[in-house]
Amino acid sequence: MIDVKNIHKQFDRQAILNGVSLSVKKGSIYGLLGSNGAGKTTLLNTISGVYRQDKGNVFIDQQPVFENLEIKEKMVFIPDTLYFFPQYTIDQTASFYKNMYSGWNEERYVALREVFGIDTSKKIHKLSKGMQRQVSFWLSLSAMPDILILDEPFDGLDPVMRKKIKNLLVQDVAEREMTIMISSHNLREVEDLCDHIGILHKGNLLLEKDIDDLKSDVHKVQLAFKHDTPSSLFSSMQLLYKEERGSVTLAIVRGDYDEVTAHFQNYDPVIYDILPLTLEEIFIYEMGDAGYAIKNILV
Amino acid sequence: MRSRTSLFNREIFVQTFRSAGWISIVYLVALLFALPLRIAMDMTDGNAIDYYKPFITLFNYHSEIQMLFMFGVPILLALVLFRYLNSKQSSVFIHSLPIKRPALLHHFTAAGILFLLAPVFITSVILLIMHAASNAESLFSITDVFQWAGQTLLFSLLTFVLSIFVGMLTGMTAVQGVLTVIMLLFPYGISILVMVNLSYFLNGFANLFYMDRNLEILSPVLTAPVLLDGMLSKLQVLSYIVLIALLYTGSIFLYQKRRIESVSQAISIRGLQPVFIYGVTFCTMLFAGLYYGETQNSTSWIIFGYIAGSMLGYLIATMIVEKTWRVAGKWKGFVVYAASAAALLFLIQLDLTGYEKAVPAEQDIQSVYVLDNYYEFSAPEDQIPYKKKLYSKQNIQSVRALHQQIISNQEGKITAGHDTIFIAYKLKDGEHLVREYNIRSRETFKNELRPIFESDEYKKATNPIAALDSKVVDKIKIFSNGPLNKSVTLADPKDITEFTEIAQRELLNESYEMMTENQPVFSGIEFLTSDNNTHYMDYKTSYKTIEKWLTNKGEIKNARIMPDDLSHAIVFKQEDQDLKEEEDGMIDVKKLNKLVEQGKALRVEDKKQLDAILRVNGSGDSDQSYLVALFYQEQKFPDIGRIDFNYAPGFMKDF
Repeated sequence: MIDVKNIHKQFDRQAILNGVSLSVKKGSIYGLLGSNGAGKTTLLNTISGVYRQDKGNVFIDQQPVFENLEIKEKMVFIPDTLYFFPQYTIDQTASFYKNMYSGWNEERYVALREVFGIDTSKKIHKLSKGMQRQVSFWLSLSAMPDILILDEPFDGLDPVMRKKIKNLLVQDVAEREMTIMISSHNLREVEDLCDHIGILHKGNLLLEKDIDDLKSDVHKVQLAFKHDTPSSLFSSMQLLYKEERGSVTLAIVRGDYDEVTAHFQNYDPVIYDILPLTLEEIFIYEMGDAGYAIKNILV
Repeated sequence: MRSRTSLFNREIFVQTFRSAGWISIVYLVALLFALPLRIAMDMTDGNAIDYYKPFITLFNYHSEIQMLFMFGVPILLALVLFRYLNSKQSSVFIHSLPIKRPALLHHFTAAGILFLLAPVFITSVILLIMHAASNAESLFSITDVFQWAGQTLLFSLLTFVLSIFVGMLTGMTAVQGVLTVIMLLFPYGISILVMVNLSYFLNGFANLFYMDRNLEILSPVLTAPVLLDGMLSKLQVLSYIVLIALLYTGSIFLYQKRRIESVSQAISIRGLQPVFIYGVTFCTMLFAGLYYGETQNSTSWIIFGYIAGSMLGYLIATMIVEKTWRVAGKWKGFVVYAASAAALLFLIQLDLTGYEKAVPAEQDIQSVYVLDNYYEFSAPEDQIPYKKKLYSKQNIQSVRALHQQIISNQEGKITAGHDTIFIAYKLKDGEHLVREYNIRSRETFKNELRPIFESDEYKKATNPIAALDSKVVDKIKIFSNGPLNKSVTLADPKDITEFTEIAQRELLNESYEMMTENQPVFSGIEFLTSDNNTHYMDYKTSYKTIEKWLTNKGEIKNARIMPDDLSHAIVFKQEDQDLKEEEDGMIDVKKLNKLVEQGKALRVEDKKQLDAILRVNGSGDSDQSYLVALFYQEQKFPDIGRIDFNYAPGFMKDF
């Protein structure tokens, strides 16, 4: 659905994006992670057709995005700092959205009022920051976009509202295959939501992964043997990390769950545990040195 | 599903009305105050109605309010409507919407036009109703209303579109406002700057000749006062319309080039940043050059002005673009600029086109003007009747010789000169070649000027009396100088013919010195012609044939002050007297008499000596002269005159 091909972008002769490529499938939720200044906002602005890339292409449904009405009508971008027209009430803003996006769903707008419970005749500027965020989700979801681009969307939301909105997003993805791109500087904030993760660092995409693949592929194994640890234990395994704690061997290996289990059972260990890794651990082990450089994103 | 690509987005209009509609309302109130209300005041005032159409155009009612709003409202509208471009949040929001940039521009511009149009339209309708319903006929016509509305809209649309265009270039609303005002004046200003500066380095460049060609037309603000007295020309209207179209097309183009992320940068299109910096540098350079050129009049000061001005301009422009005080590291661009500017100056000095040396070939010249300065050339002929071309081969040769002499003297660049010589050739191919030279003194070119000035053609061209046909003269009046109201009127055709002929002969016989130097004068002569013109000439004391003719007629005693009119005269030197002339020209007679007693002043009573004094009185105009107090019979206070030392008769020199 979204295909970003080798885009470059400079501000004042300073490179912000350095040949970023990524692709997002229809109906998936893509988490774009990166520390401050990594270029997340610039990348999302470019994907939304606000900025024009200096080099490279952004395709959505095989069409370039920039100044493409057909695409932009199906896409809503919620930037990190929100903008509403001064003195506009929620209803007035809603009719602006309605006029802009042909997919606007009035029933949904009315239905979502129950969820958010904010008086629609209130001026948006008088609402709190968190409420303004809710309004932006409310309006965006009522526009029924095929693609929703969210830049640091959960700032200023309390955990309850965060959960509610995440549910709404997942619901739309499940029901009508909405595609979401979501940026964050915090992996934990989005790991329960995303099915794909990309890590942006200094204008480069360090890695791009399917979370399910990651989770099912990498395992933490704890082993102990009656006798010495067999020397050929990891010979046919893809070993990412190994640590000996007394007689207990702790290893992180890659491979199919069943295959890994079968393999180790062959050696007849006294203790055998196979555990899932947190995403954070996976990234650190996967990325080796680079992982430390971006550790703060993963906390 | 509704049509997705509707051309008109109602909600954007609603938004523009919420944000900028108030400007339109304020504009309407101002217009209603300035026009219908003001006119209603006149209509209810019984006296005012007596005058038919007190003003030529409707722009005259509260013209200052009208002008302020005509330019101020469109600028303010452009600033408010396009404010969204200059704030990060709003510009990201707007540009993420499914609407193309040109469409955004069209919507906001259309809204602005509507806001400009509506108040003018409503005001016009009210004026038309007033016209139909009352006695306003005597104050304005229906045509006036349409002309007013059309021209108001034309000016405000031009300003509006210009401000939009500038807005596309900049990322700061304040810069947009300031730059718009500058751009409204810029074409005029830069033309003046370039021309004045060229005149410093191109010898003979007649900057005034080019500057006076209605350059105001280049600036809408400076053109606007035309509306008070009449209408814009068709060409102006057309060119404004073309300009509006060009600026708008340019705005669409720039909007698409514009980088949304360049919010809050002074110049939002990076390729234009150097253009802006060097443009500002060039203008401040020329301005400083003009300042020192006009005040100091010396080349070294002008060069200093160029260096200081360009440095200052470069610094300021760089600071604006970089948005920081710390621009010291950016000096390389200035070096490039300075080198280019020096090269340009050098090129001008090289005079590759031969501009400074150009004297047209004799066979190419159809006619020529030689005047004191451009102002004489520019004045309409009915105001300055002596502005006539010279055609004769003799004079064309003489003018070329003068021109060549000026060029070879290398005068006229920047001198402390007070005199100017203006030469304009009309060439046979229809072109003009115009030069104006600053010269130290006309004396320098006396030998070249003499044959021109003394030629009959020049005299007839420059003095209407010399070329006057006596048949058209109805009357000739001679008024004597001095406090006695003596005059002679010639009305007899024979007298008129005779007198005109001898006056003309006197004029044609005058030498260069008599024409250019201060001459003692008896009286003034007026020729009243049948076409109701009056031509004036001095009756110089040296005009012997006139004196003879008047003597024969027995009118001389009425045509000039005679020795018999005086009781006596007292001659003294300027430096002797501690009795400076009082402000009202009165002089302390007692002190004067005391001077005579002390031998510091000469009392003259002899009629012959008095006549000699009258013949030279008025020849002096400097400290190198005697003062003479003429005491008329039965007059309490004397008349004070000056006599140049060189003109002083023998008996005065002895004293």
